Amino acid sequence: MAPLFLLAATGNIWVLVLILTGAFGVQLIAGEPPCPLCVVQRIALMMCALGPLYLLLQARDRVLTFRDLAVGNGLSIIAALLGAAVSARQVLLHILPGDQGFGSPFLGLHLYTWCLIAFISQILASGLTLIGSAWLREEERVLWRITNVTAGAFIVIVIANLLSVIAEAGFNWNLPPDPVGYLLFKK
Amino acid sequence: MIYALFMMLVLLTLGAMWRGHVLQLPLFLLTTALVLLQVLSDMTTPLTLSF
Repeated sequence: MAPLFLLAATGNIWVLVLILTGAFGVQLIAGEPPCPLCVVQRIALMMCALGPLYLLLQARDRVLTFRDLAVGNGLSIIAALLGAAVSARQVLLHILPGDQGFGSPFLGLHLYTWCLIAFISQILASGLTLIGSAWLREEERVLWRITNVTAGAFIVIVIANLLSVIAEAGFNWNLPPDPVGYLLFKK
Repeated sequence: MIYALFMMLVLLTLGAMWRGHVLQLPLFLLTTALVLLQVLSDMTTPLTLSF
């Protein structure tokens, strides 16, 4: 069963990286800089990925244990709860009739609504993994070759967001509530 | 800049996990607590309502 847990963890990270890449793509292609709450949701998505990354990194050098599964999924659940609270807040801010919402919708839903779905899905996935840990056999050592590539993709998207948020905030401590451009490049 | 700080903390936590450092979980909890504080301050400050 250990390879199945590592496969699930790897898939989980790549899904989160794809969501972050999609959000970054919308920012660059549609020219919509993220608002403060959007950035916090991105940070929560990154923190969700730390759980499965923890599993992959623990399994790199030794046998995957129940403790690893508990800690890794615990990290993801805490991060997803935080993210879900922020997404729910943003959904509620735009719940009044006639409100157009913030940013362009994607497949009929705004990005913060998709984020809420993603965070709830993360909690469900982590819960299912915790239930599945009943079938883990701790004596299996697995050689998982794509840990470094997966972690590398995660690092690239975090650094891209880091540079983007620095460009957006300029030399200010906080982001403007309704950002329209990149303050670092404004004269 | 505060959000850049949070992202740097995420990278720092990943670095600690990579090396199996004893601070990996405390760093994650610190990041969570700081983000939570930022969210709470945003939620309780109606004049700077962010969307």
